[in-house]
Amino acid sequence: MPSEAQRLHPFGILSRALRLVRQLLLPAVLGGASIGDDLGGILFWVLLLLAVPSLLIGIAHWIAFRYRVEADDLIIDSGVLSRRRRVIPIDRIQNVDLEQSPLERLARVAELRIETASGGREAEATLSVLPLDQARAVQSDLLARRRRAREQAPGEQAQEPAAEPLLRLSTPDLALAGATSNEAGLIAAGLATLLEVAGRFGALAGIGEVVDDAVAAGAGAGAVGVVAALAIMVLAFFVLGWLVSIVATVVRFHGFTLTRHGDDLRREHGLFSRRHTTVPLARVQAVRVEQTLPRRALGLVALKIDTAGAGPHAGSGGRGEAHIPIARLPDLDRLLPSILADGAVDPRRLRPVAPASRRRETTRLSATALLVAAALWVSGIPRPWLALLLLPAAWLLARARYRSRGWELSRSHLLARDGVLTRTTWIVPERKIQTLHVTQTPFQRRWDLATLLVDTAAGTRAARVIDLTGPTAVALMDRLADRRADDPPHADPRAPGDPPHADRQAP
Amino acid sequence: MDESRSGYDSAEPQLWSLHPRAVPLWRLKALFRGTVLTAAVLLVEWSLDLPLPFGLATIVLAVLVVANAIVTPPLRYRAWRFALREDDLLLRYGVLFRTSAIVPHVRIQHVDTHHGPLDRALGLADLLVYTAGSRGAIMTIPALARDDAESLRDTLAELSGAGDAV
Repeated sequence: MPSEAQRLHPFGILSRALRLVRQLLLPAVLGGASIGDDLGGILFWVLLLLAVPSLLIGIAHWIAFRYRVEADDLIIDSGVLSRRRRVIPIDRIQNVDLEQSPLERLARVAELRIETASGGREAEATLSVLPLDQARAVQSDLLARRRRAREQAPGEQAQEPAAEPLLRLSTPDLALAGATSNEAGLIAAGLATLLEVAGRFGALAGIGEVVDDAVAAGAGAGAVGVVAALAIMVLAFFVLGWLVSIVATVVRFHGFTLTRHGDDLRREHGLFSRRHTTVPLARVQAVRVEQTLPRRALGLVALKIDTAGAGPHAGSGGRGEAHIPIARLPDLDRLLPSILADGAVDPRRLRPVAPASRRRETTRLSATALLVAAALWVSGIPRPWLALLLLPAAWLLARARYRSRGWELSRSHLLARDGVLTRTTWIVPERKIQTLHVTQTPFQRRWDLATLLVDTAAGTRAARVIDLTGPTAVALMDRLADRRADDPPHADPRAPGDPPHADRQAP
Repeated sequence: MDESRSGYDSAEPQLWSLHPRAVPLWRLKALFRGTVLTAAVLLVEWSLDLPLPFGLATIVLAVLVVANAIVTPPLRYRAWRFALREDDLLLRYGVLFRTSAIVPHVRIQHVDTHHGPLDRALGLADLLVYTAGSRGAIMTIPALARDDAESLRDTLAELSGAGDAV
């Protein structure tokens, strides 16, 4: 790798200008729309007013931008008005991601994003863009240098470790992933909103008009007809949302491959925008195994790998989150040991939480059901006793909640499962635990139950084991705190007096 | 403190309480917040010219504010315990919702003391412990004697793991 300062590929000017326009387009159009209502005219002027300065800014930045890779540092000079030099120590680099938009793929260029552990939402440095070959070369050069710097074994030749393929998803796999995600409802709501906005601009009939039409069409058959018409419309939106969810998943994750290169996990996917993500395994804070109801029935899972870094794969929480959109349950036997370096992790075999959990949920949900029934009775609707049917529903939900909960300690991980609609199993490496909390609500105290909360630097949520018995929760917390303190020695993880393993149940 | 059912009562060598002046401090704070709330409610009622029953409700609110300021702080004070242990910091607090938390020393990013005007008048300070976590990333031990807070801060800063990677 040459060590003199390098310029980026001039295509980056266009990329940057396009990105700027894209970011400013919506607010500018909305701003313009508040002045007048000629949508076409507004769009034209907004584009013109945005495009020219964006292009000029892009050119200025391209001229000012230089980077070079030195022995221990990546050095980037940038800034038009105020010059700025950023020195990134190579051993601090966490991820080097390669990303291509559809246009960039046509031009055979790619963007490199370099992340360090600093918590911001943006990547620490972005090289936008490089010729594809050069981007690949810089990526593997930086990763190799980082490995060398970390091994601190001078003279030892760092070579690219062999790639071990872990998972490859076909288009039918991805269609299945989209079909079994529970995003259809969300997308349906989004579509309805979009239709309403389009209606405002007079481009399409607004949602209100569609509803009016449907009601008018059904009114011929009386009240039943109106209800049927509305039900059909809601169903249509759901089917549409479902199809969109399938297509979106296929497009986003097309050609998904997951490989392991030494201590890194690499992901590659995308039909139009191609993404190459590197996840250093040492940075994994938690792995979440998620199962929606249809996935549970079909023996499918989705995996989310939480890291503490920022960057392009950052989820809504602002921290890193790498998805594996779909896998079959048996695939976990291969994936989890490779990702976690712990062969004893098996999310299918967990211990149940305290049986009092079911009694607590039954009491709680029955009380809610009775309150609702009482309210309906008071409101004087016909046949209020039908509301008592809520009671068995409450009992079923209580049972489902109890059975969704489970936990286990493997050699070096805590597993915690919860969730009825989407069942999530958290797998937290003990070494990544930040703080531990045992909490008791007044109702939990009544049943001598407690919740163990295990916080890591992943995302905005923490893993929770809900409804252990009080003593078990405290014993588990102390055990995890002790293990954290004196690393490897793996004592027998079972707390005294815990139910034997025969009580384990499948998720 | 009745902890026999909670399972929290694993024999700890040294559990510390907060400074007893936490009680007057919290009482003053609760009174202040309650007074602001009541005043805001009164202002709304006065400006909307609401009928008498609302006025009675405001009296009930004022009584509740005073009762809360008298009753709650001692309970909170009695529930609060913490211990500096060999490898971690242990916190126990909460009257209705009880929590027991552990912060391993190696996970501490930095430590602050904080004192507002009221704390200063009473010679108290809060100790804030920061971790890299998401939920519960900042843990607070309130109402310590200022000297205690500062010496605990320095001890924790010394014990905290330098360069512990996330």
